[in-house]
Amino acid sequence: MAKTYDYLFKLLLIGDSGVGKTCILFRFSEDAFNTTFISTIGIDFKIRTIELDGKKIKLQIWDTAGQERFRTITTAYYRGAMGIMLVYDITQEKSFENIKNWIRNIEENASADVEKMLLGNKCELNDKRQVSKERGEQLAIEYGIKFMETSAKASINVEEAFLTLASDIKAKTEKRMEANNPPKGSHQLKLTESRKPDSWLSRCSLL
Amino acid sequence: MSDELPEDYDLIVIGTGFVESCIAAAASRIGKNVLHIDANEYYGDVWSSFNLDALINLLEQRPEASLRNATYRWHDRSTSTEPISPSHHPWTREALLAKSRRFSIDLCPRILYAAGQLVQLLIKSNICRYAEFRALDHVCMRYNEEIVPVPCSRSDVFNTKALSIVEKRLLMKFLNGCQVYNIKKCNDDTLAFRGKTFQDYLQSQRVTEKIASCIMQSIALSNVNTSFEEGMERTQRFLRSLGRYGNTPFLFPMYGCGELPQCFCRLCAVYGGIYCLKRAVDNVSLDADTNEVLLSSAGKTLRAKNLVCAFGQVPSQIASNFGELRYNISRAVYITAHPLGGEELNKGGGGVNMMRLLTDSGDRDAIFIQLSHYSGTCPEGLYIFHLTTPAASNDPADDLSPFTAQIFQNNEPEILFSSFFTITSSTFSHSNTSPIFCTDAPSYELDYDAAIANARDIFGRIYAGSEFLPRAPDPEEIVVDGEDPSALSEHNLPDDLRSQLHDLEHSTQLIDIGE
Repeated sequence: MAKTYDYLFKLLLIGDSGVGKTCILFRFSEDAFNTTFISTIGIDFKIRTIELDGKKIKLQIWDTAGQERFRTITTAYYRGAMGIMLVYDITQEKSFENIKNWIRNIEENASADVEKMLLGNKCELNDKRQVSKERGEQLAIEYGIKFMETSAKASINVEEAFLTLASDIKAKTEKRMEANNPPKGSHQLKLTESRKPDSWLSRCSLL
Repeated sequence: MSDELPEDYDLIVIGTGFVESCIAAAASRIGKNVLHIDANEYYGDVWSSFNLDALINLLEQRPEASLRNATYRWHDRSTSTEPISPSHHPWTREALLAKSRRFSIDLCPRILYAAGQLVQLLIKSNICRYAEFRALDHVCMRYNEEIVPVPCSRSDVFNTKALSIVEKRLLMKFLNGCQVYNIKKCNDDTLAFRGKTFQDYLQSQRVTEKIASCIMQSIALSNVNTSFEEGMERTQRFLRSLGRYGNTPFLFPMYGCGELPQCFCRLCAVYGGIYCLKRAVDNVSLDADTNEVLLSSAGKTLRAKNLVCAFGQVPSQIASNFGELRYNISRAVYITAHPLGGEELNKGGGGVNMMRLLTDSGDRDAIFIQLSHYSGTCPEGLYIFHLTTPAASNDPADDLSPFTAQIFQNNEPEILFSSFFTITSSTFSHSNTSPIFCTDAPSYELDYDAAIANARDIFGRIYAGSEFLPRAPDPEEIVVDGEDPSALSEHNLPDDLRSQLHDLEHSTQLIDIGE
């Protein structure tokens, strides 16, 4: 089967419960917003293919499956992630304070060169704001990462945020490919992987 | 979302090891309300993988129920009398610990058959999307005190210098015989070996000693006591798994076997299972009226219809149902600066290899696994050697000494760190009316067949008639707005909707008949 994309990037959403990670995911992948998504079960990632500089990029964006609630995200969740969206809620001071804990978690478990970005979500709720935009910017500068305020509900900056993250990963990937340092191979088991094993014996009966 | 733990569950699972995680995922998948907790701050219990710091920490802890007789030692360079060549990378204790996080060291490492039960289960349930695997580079065997590759693919057979042309033919002929063998349709040839050992059969086939070692050690994974039927079955299992993913019939999970329980936990969580680590249980009791399990944990009482508990995390109130503690598996872990075997086995900086070892008398065996950085479990330039054998005593180093002698006899892999420990188990007596189930500790096996059977058995006893881990739909297949209810798995639906769906299907069938 021909590949329909040039790159596949695995992205993660991380942040406290209730900051709107799943809503951001749905805004970007389906251009929809519905607060009842939260209780939707059976979904663990969404896929959207975008185009950047003529290259088709398939973004596979993973949600935490609720395992952030008691800080029990599996180490396996971080494997192979190339980009991480750190999300807080501008109306919840605590979710902003916890960003540094999430960054520590990422440093312990994700690959060292993972691309990160900070998002202050629910920016449409300005009257309930507890975290100023400046503090968000300041924290991002501290960690040397990019920052945006978003609203999944009002569809502000969600698209821009993912395109920015994807474009930074793409630049990094292409730089590495120029350095001729391809990643090492491993197998992912596929449902479709039903290749009939070649009969080793019959072929070797030629001997 | 509240950080308060709900109090009522269909199932509470204590311990996030492989078997418990399978059961938690399977229950959650069919719509049960699951709480999954673990007293440890990490996933996997005794099935987990650890970085170097964490492993040392664990080995230094006072013995817990499932891990005993633990020792470790640094083989510091200062104690070596050999001069250090200038080109040599100085892998000091500090250098290793500085890379601690690059290690992922399994307490119970396993190798998967490419067409084995776990691989089938992962594919069938769609849990395979959470993991990646490395095809083993080589299956090795020890012959004449040398470590040589066992040919697995056609190119291996053509290229190997380990076997002569005549031997290659003999091996083919023998394996061909095994492949067509069918236990129900025995010919006179094979009928004669009913009740005898596999070795008897092998000897009757007039293969050379080298071929016999190859088959006994690596293909049929047998010893002198293995029955003819069992040996044939194991050979067929090896042959069935050939040619699927790589050069050998085996896979190893990238980043270690500790990833596997986490994959099942992820599925459980995706279907609504709640996770809580570092959560000890203080008390367990039964509600006499409802036969429900009452757990008290962190000052809270939790209630569940059923409880599944890992052997190592059983609350003392039900520990009396256990038999005597048994030493189950003796383990060794080595970190070395050189791989085992020659260049052929370690192209490109070290192979991910496995080798089965037999004692000279052939009655005891061990599994040796060499992991290089290609497995994601250690830094480049270093190697992890795992040795596993059924425990014969409370001294794992002594149990493994015949095998360590074999592998280190003509090899100097420059050992930097070594550790020995025992994995224990016990039998749990379960009464038919009790809603409490206890999983088995890891046993001595190459793949996960016994562990999966244990999970299936417990799941089947709690949820008789329900499918064990049916396929989870891909995200693209899920329709969120519910315009098409059939796109959702019916297990996800609340009871009233489910019965509506059944009525709907029933009436559609009636219409079909009417036409």
